[in-house]
Order: sequence, then structure tokens, then C-alpha cells
Amino acid sequence: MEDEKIIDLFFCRSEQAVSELSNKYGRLCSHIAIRILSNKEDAEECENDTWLRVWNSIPPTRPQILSAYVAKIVRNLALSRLQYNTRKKRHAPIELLFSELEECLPDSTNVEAAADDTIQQSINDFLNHLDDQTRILFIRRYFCAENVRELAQRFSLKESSVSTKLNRVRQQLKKYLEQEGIVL
Amino acid sequence: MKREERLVFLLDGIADEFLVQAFETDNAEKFRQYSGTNRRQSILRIVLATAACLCLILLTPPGKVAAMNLYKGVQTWFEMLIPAQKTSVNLGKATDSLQEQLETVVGRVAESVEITVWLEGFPETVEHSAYGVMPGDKYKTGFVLYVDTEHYVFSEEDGIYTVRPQEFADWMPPCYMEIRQLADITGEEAAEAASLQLSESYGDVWEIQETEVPRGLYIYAHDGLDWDAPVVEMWFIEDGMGNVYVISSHYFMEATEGHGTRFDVMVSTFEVLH
Repeated sequence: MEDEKIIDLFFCRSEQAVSELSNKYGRLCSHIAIRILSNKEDAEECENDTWLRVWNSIPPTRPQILSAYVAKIVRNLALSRLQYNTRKKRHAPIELLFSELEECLPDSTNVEAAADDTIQQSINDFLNHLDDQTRILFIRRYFCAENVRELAQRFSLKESSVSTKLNRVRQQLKKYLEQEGIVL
Repeated sequence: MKREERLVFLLDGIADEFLVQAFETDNAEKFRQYSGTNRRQSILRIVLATAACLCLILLTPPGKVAAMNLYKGVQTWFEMLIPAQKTSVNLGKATDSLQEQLETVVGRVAESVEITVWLEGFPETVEHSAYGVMPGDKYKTGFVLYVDTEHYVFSEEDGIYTVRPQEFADWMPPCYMEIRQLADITGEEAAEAASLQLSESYGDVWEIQETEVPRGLYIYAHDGLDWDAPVVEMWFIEDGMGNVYVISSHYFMEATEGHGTRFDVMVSTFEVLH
């Protein structure tokens, strides 16, 4: 079913909206949730919470791109769940993602941290300057939390090649944020 | 919240169109429809524009004189940027003893196999020929390796077997693969010693990993991210008789998807002969 029709079902408060949404984007959501949480039960719970949140937000929201809207919700829920679950015990796969992104952080100073929307705008400007393949790798790694091996297998690349490209883009992001004067 | 955690959450603000592009690109075929680099295209445009300007200058007499003086002044820079020719190296024929051994090896295994190599997302089917050595007096085992003879040559000197590109330019960093056998040592010992040695010359040496094809241990190392940064991959395969075959492929960062991939494919055909 087309996204517009699914959104219309939400506006009509039809329960079919959730089943159609689940059919179309359930796999995407579970893919993201399980990559972040590495736990099937928690990932399923996040998925269900996502449908509830979408139900509660549409209407009045009318997302322009439904897949991105749903993906952001499930990702946010999964990350929040991860924080709740792993206060004491860190999970290795996602911990690696955090430590990789630490390399992107500009050197900290006593300057006040930038606002969220400023940082997000800068990140989008940075992504806009990347070539398509690098941008896709960056998003699948750091938004969807796919690991290097999965990316290499998916796109028929060498693991070392994927690792090197991601390493380069992290260095480039750090340099870009520093040049923009962005502090986190 | 830690700074890196905040960054992870802030990635939620990635533009929807970027996310959709990434979600919809879920296989190699779709991936390679996209451009791999913007920099290459930009450089190409600059080079073409520069060449066009130079041609215009050369049409005028003063322009010709100025161009000659400029050329003399930056001659070395031009030769580095735009090499005149590639150098072909003739490694010569295999020695008689190696030729005999090759014929014996070929008698025991398939003479050649066709292998599909994936280079930057594109498949290329290449015939690979069997090379190697029979078990001898010095070492109780031999080996076979299928070599891409369309692009590489196989040779031996002082017990070290080498695979080199058939053609290479003098100004490019070296690309080659070596196979050697170490006696009375385990794969783990050989890998640990190599790892220590690599850490002296390479800035980034990965942890020793296990590999299935070929079955053994593996190390990856590189020194920087520049296009010509050296890269080395090493495999350590025990022969079951107390010796270890050490395979090392050497290339540069920009050649990862080319020579690096082709070397990997050849290494995957390596087999110990008893």
C-alpha cells in the first residue's frame, strides 16, 4: 500500500493503518531495533512501541516520508531502551559504534555546546557534500547500526575497504565540525 | 549524557531523503549505481579545464615560449602527475626445476579454474592457473595456488614464491604477494612475531584473527589513509607437519579494491599438499 494511503488510514483512525504500516516497514524497524539492542524481545517491544507512537502522532502530524519518520521513532526508542538496559553493563557491538563516533567529536573546549538543531543542520550539510556511496555507508553504519561485516557482505566490498572508508569519513566529519565551530 | 551518546541521538536529524536513499540501497547492484567519489569527478574537470587553457596558450608565439619555460620549470611535477608510459618488466621464464615441479603439481590438481572476482561491485570472471610446489626433502608438504595469469606472473627465488603484476609503473608503490615456509614453528607463534614486527613500521596493525579460507590466522595492517599508504595482509597456515606457510600481500590503499581483492581471491585458493 502506498504511504499516502497508509497515512490516510491513520487520519481515519482505522486500525488497518497499523497492520499496513507493520507489513510495509516492520522489517526495516526490526532491523534497526535489533542492531541497536541485540535482543529479540527488546527489539519486538520497541517495534510495538513504535506503532503506538505513530498511532498517537498521526494525526496531526502528516509525515512527508513515512519510512524515515518510522525509522527515526524506532531508533530513538531503541537507543533510549539501550540506555535504560545497560546503565551498568555495556553491550559490545553498540559500544563500538559509540566509540567510533567519539572520533568525530571536535576537541572539547570551555565553549558552550551548540544547540541540537545547529548540530543536526551541520551534519546534514556535511552529508550533502559526501558522495552517494560514502553517505549510504555512513547512514547504514551509524543510523541503522549495521556492522562492518554486514555492510561488506551486503555491498560486495572488502571489510577492510568499508572500515577504511568509514574511518576517513569520521575524520572528515570531525574536521568539518571543528571548522564550523561546533562543540558537543 | 556522554558527548558521543549525544551525537548518536542527534543523527536522528539526518535528512529524510538521505535516509530513504540509504534504506532503498540494500544490495550491491543498487549500491554501484551510485557514484563512488565526487573528488575524482572534480579533479577530472579541473584537469580538462587546465588542458584546454594550455592548448589555447600554445596557439600564440609568446604563449609557446612561456609554456616551454614553464614546462622546464615544473618538469618533475608533470612527470609525477601524468606519467609518459608504464614500464613492463619481463621476469623471465621459470627455471627448469620449477617448471618440472609445476608440471608435477598440475598433474595432481586441476590445471586451471575460472573464478569470478568482484571488483568495486562488478563481477569479472578470470581464468586462474595452478602453480605451486610438491612436497620435497626439505619440507614434507607442498602447496598449490591458483594464479590470475592474465594480470600476474609467478616466480621463485631462494625459496620465496612471488606473485607480481605483469605490468607496473616505476612511480607507483609496490604491489606483490609472497609465499614462504617457516619450519618448526606454530601459526600462532609466527603470527605474533609478525604482528610485533609490523607494529614497528605500520601505524595501524589489527588484532590477529582466525580465517576459514584458507584455514589459519590473519593480520591486516596499514600505515595511514593517503592514496599511497602501504597496506599488508598476512596469512599463517599450518601444514600439519610442524611448519607454517606465510602468505603476505603488499599493496597501497588506493589499490585495495583492485590488487588487494585479486590477491585475496588467489590466497583463497591456497592449499597445502601432503
